[in-house]
Amino acid sequence: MFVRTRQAMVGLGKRVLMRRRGYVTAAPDVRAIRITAGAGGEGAEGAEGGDLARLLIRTALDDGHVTAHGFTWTALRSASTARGLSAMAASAVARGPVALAEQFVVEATARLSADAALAAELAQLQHQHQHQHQHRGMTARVRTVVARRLAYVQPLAHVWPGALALMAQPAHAPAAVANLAALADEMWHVAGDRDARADAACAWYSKRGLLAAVYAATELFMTTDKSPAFVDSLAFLDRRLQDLASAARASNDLSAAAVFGFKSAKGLLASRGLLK
Amino acid sequence: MIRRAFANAQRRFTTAATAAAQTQNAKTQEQLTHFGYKTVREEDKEQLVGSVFRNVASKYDVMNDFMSGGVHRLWKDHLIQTLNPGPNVKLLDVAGGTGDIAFRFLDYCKKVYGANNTASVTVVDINPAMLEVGKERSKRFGFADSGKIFFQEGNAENLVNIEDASVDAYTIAFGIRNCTHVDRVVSEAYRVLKPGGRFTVLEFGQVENPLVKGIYDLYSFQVIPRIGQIVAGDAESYQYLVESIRKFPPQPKFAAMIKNAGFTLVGQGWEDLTFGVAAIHTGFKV
Repeated sequence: MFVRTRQAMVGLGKRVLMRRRGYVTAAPDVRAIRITAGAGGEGAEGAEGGDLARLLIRTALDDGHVTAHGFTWTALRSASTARGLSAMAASAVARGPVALAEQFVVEATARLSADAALAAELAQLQHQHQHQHQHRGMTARVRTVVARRLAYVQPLAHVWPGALALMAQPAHAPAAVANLAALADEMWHVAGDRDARADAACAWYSKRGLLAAVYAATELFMTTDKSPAFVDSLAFLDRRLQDLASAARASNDLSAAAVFGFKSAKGLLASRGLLK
Repeated sequence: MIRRAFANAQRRFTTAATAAAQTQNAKTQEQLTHFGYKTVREEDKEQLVGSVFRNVASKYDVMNDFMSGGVHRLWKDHLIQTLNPGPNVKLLDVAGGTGDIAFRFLDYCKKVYGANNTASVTVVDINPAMLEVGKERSKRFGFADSGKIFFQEGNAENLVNIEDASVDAYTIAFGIRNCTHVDRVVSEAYRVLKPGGRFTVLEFGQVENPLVKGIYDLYSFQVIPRIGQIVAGDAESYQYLVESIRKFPPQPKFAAMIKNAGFTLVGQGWEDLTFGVAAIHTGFKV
């Protein structure tokens, strides 16, 4: 598009070209910058500006600013001043608080495969269930993985509704859905699912959708859970996994169950006034 | 032998003469600058610009509405949204005589953070006539004794009354292109900003799209001076305004100037507004 416009401009004749010569020479640089800028995420902030944004996001998440102020501009401003910068620097994080939330989600998902304690727990389960039916062993492992992923969010459970509200906004929802799908994939993978059946592709989609729905619903439940060590949330998770098993038995159309799961998650969000 | 010496002397003389001529040339070039499409001496530009704004001061905001069809209000609102100031930001608004940016900033802070926010703004302008309009409006809007807004006469190229690293944000809206040394303005901004502070420039840009550019040029050169004649009784000042827009460096070049002054750009460093008719440039002092 840009190239075409430039050609059209050149076609306007020599006089225009002469007058705008400075501009025409500068144009290739602009294009280079624009291509970098289209790379996506906070990394799109350009080399140095990106560093500043990353530094502030890192500080806000790691040094308790989000714990204290939630996923907000206040947290980013507080991170700026903690770094000896004017609070104004927070506006270098062009996408604002939602960038904090997305960064948190992506990192928490990446943590799963590097979590040694989780790996040990899974190995233990593998050992316990080796004589049992394969399916039951998998359910236990998936439950363990989901519970661990939820545990990462628990220290921020009091501010997590704010993050969910931000990510549910139309502009940010596509990234949130992609992150949730990636999370479901990763959870299946870490749980040890290596399904390679002929209809694996179809099964993969439905599995992903189902687990994503279960996770999202439990996470939402957790944000209002005041029980010690979030035991109510874990009970909720167990019931959802049971639902899943019975839904799978009742119908071969697993995607219907996935749709059901999504609708209940949406209903939950709406009931909390997060979705309108 | 003698002939060679003579030739040498002659050559030396010629070189010296050429060098002298070149220095002379460079000197005159250094002292010249543009005033719209006219070339004027540097020391005259400030006065010429001064007279333009003295002429238009009382009609400045009305004229902005007429010329831009009210769009300049949207641009300025967007500037404040983009700036996204916190509840205790100290803003320096340079070339902001009539207070268009300052009042928007104060309104924004009041709306977002409530009446007890500690945000404040200092308005600096080189032109007393423009400042008078601002002070008058400040009374009318009830900000006069709020302790949140201060007016000060000053030159953007040399902000003698503003200390080093003393403000969180620096804005200059449609002002920087009227300054004789744009680079000095940018480095002064760098000086007065606190570390992490934000430099934000709202300025006319260059339109890239050839179709839009055709319409824009026609409007600028045929319509605006005529509106100026009818509404403010002064076509020449408005002729200068549209010409000065064309003389200001295009977005990439100006972004490079900001970067060269030491600022950190975020992304490409600017955001185009209305096809690039205007642009918001941003740099962080980091």
